[in-house]
Amino acid sequence: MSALLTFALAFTATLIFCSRRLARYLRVLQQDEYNSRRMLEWVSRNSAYDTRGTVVLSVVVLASFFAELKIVSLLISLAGAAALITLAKSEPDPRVSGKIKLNMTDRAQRIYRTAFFMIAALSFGVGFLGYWAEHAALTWAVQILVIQSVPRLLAFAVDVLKPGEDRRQLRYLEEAAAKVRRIDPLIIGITGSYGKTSVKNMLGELLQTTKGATFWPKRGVNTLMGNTRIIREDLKPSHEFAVIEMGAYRRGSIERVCELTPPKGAIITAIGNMHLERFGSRENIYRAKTELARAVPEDGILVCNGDDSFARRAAEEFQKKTTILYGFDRTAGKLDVWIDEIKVDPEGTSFKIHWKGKGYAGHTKLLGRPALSNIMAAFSMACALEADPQFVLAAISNLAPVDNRLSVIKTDKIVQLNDAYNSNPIGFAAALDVLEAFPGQRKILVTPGMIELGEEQTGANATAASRAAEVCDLVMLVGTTNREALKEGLKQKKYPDDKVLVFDDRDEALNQLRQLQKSGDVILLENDLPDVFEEYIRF
Amino acid sequence: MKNGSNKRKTVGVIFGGRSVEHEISVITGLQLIRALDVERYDVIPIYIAPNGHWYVGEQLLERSFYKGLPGCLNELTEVTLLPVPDSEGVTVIGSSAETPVGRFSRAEQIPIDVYFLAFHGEFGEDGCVQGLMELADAAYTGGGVLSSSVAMDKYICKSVLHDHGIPVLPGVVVRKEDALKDFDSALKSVFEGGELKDFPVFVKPCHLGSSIGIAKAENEVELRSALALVFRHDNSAIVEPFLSEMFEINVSILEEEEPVASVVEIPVSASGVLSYEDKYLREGASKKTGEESGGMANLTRDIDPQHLDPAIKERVIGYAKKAVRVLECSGIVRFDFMYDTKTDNIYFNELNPMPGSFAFYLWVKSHPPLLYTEVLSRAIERAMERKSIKSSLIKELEFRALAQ
Repeated sequence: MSALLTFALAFTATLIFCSRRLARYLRVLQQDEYNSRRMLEWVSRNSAYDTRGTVVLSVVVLASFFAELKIVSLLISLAGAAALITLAKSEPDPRVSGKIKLNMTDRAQRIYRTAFFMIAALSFGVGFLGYWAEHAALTWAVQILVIQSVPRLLAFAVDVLKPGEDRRQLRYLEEAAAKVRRIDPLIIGITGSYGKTSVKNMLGELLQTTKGATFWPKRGVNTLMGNTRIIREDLKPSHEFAVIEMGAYRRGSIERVCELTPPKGAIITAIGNMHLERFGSRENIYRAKTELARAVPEDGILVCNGDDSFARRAAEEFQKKTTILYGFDRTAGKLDVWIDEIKVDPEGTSFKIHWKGKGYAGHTKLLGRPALSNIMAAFSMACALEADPQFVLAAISNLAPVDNRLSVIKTDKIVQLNDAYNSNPIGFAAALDVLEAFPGQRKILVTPGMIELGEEQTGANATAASRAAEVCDLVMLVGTTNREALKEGLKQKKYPDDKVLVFDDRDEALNQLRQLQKSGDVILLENDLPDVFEEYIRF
Repeated sequence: MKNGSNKRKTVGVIFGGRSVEHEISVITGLQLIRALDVERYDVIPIYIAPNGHWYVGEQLLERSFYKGLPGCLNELTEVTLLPVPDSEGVTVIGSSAETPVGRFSRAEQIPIDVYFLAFHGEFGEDGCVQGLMELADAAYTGGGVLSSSVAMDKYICKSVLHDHGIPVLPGVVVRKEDALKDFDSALKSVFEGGELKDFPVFVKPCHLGSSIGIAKAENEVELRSALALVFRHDNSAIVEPFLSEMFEINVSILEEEEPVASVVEIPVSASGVLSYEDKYLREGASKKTGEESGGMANLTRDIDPQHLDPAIKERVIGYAKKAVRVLECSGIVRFDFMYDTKTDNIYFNELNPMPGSFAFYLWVKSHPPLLYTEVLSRAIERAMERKSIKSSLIKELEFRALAQ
């Protein structure tokens, strides 16, 4: 009888504990496109194995082992179960907390249920052994095995469900492709190491106002499956134009998206060295991104960033009937569209843009050179599609800054420049330029540094920090990933140590910031790493 | 004594809708449902979701329900109003419906005697739903198709009223179609006709609620931006002169055989200084609901201002009552006027055929005060009366040409 009770307590408590843990691992999985291999790699790299549950259970096991009376053993089991459940409830629920929350989509739910079932089966199976042997300590000990198996069972669940998921995805893909063919909007593809989402949103807005009904996925959707879903849900017969963002995750990514949405026009914003570790070499990145240029027909439109040497090379290699190079630097080579006479003020930026030999005055609420570069890209495409340049510029003046991309939040006392979404060396430098130009008493930088730069990561972070030393009165470094590199950069400019604050995670940093910020401060929040990369993981 | 007036009536309150003012409509709808006279009326809430589909369900009465959109729509039952004269109510097209008046299964009709329309903006205020109501031969509150669509187009509305002796500001319409063909000449057309003399001007969308896409323009560059802003939301823009020294006066009218006017109000900005921008360039919610909602409203209202010259009040009320007749308004409407302090001129600005909260905050302060419940009951009775008047017209179809 008491063996049964012990079994029941062990089983239930373990399941409750695992349910929360499973969700946490699932979040990691979801952030990396449900790639089970990478999730397991992350777990091993960060030693994200369970410690707390195991510790609690080990205590219970030992206590049970040495317990002589059945009633004592039972009480120990009760206490153990209670402890485990309390532990589970005390952990944050990944569905509601954390910067990137676990989104229980249909697919996530299927995976969760499958994995949970496996965990339950395992727990039941091994727990039964203990029950059958009437050995309380064993009943609890095997549950340690169960808890430690959660990541692997999750990976297994993903793999088991994969064929079904793949079939489902394929069906969705076919439906979406057929819909696109039926509606036949004029499609413009956008790719580039950075600025994709910004240019997409801008171009979408401009075409909508100055040309006709335009479809564009509002968030940073740029994968085949992401675009498939949005097209199935939101593309309407009335849409004349479609602006599609295409992310180059590996060779072939963009080619596949172009099969779904064959582009008539393309914009390449940059072929830098973001995500270098995924591709291996800059040449590979070039080939992957130029799949878009390749997909555009001969009589189509190609718009490339002339300031980026690789993008310029793409424009030369893949000449179309209309090929346009935009940029700031006319010394690097010929430019069809350029901007000069740039003036910054707290309301935004005024400038002069040149198109087909004429100069047009313009103004935008956005700040920073990358924003102007994006504006040139969108403007070029809109005008190439025969929108009236004056009309386009009028629409540009109304463009609102997007959250988290060097957007400005002004309160009575402080100004916050929020540049949290994805950072790269150029964006970081531009943000620091804006921070410098902004009127204010004290300049504060909060950043974890940049990631996914492969071998160049250390150098790039040091360079950025070095520049920050010239601009900032206070620097707050978040996390450990780039801490050394950033500190090194600050040291290069002999930045005083008392102006550097170091934090293990974002929440800590922001709390401290809230306490020490003063009236007149201008604060730059630069980049925000997804949870996957925050090393201080309490497991 | 009217036929059947002692029987309880079932009122279908329709709110929500496919406009940008959807949220405000939900607030108005829930407010008015709570205020309806329960001794005389059974209420069925009918919600038009942002996707345009119609739903019923008891949950619609809870404000917290709407937080779960769009997923929570699955818990509701879809219905529709068929555009045929024998629709005695809405038809259930989803699974079985649990409504406040009983349970109904698919293809059954939920009987409704009269519809209380509580929309704001496109597809609700502009004549579309009214057209459906006419085809379904239903009784409904508020103005008919003509009245609603004229009221929603600021330019046409002003033209009609101007023709009937009600003063309006001059205005020029710029159509997006023309701007797409040639932006420059569209721009030039603003001052070409002579109605507008000079900057500064005020640019608004011709349709939609007045909270979105409006801007002041002091020069050509700003005018371009303002037009581009309007064309993001609407196909035509109306450009009017900008009055630098003016304040607004609003009044609500309850349309009956003799239209009844409420007290007037002067919407006041937080700083005490009245300006177009404070009023218009704020979120529309505060203007619509007339109360502090969720901290957004820095606007306070000077209801029944004692310091205001009674002559001005009289003029405003006079114009409003006349306009109600001319435009065939019905139900509870709100007129917005502007008073130019420099010239002592009053100008009609805008008509709200379905004002936020149906201006109950004006009616409770009127002389005599009318409680919201009373105002709503009168609007409902008026709706049934109008239907009755219309039904008395003989309209018989004879097959003469085809019968030979």
